[in-house]
Amino acid sequence: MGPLTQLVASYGLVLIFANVLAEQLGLPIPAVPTLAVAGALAAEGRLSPLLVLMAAVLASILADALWYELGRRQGHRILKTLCRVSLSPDVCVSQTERHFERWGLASLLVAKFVPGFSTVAPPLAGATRAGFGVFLVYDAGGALLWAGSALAVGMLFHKAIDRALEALASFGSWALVTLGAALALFIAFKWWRRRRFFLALRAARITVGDLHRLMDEGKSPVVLDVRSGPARLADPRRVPGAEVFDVAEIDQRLASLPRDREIILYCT
Amino acid sequence: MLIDRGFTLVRPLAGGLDAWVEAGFPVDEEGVIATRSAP
Repeated sequence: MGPLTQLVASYGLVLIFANVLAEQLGLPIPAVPTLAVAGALAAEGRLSPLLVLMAAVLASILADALWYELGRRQGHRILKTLCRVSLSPDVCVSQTERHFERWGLASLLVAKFVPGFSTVAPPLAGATRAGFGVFLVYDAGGALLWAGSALAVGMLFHKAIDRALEALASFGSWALVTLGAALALFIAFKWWRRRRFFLALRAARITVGDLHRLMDEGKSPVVLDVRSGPARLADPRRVPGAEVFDVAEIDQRLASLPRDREIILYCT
Repeated sequence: MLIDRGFTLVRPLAGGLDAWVEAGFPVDEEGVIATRSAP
């Protein structure tokens, strides 16, 4: 029996609950492999698939409800904080807001399948003051789809999963070391990309003082407000003269943008 | 995305709108120009 299988078989529901809760709270500990192994064990009658599903959905709802409440209390500021600590800040908030703007609460049904969307969608629902009851319905539906899919994959491919885990087990304790090293490498890679993104951003950006000076000097840069619709509704103020710029319509707007003047972009 | 499309003079505003407001610079609101000026 492989180490992951042994862990899941021994601690079963508690492990699944803790793993899903940690992942949904934003920690980089993927829960899908655990759910798939649980599915494989369920296919062999060693775990109840219904209880596994309930533990995963409950943990997911608990974490999401916490994020929803934080979003409701802190508004879009919580998204800014999330983006700052996210391992994928370049795709974090703006893309999530666009998904959410387009599909509304129904986007929660697929949020857990989209990297980066899972943690940001619940606080965004809170920030947009979506009703908690409706949020819970969509969130539970999304959690059910996500955890159910991982479990179903595990049940369908239980023989292949068993073989893979047995192969890992043949390495003895090295299997755990290998898994840990793979996870550490994954986090290190994401962290390196995050650092590179912020360094590039820091090197290129303009301070508010410099922008104000440019405007005072009559150099009139083109200022684009690239906030999402909900963010603009939450705070209708704009930098003087700024044009609203929907990033989804970038190709239609290109012709109207000058290439010989400075373009300044801002979010919240 | 603009840089990918050949725009070279593109810069993000550090701190975004929040930093602009916190600095006390004037803002437009729904087409109305606010009169609060910089300190």
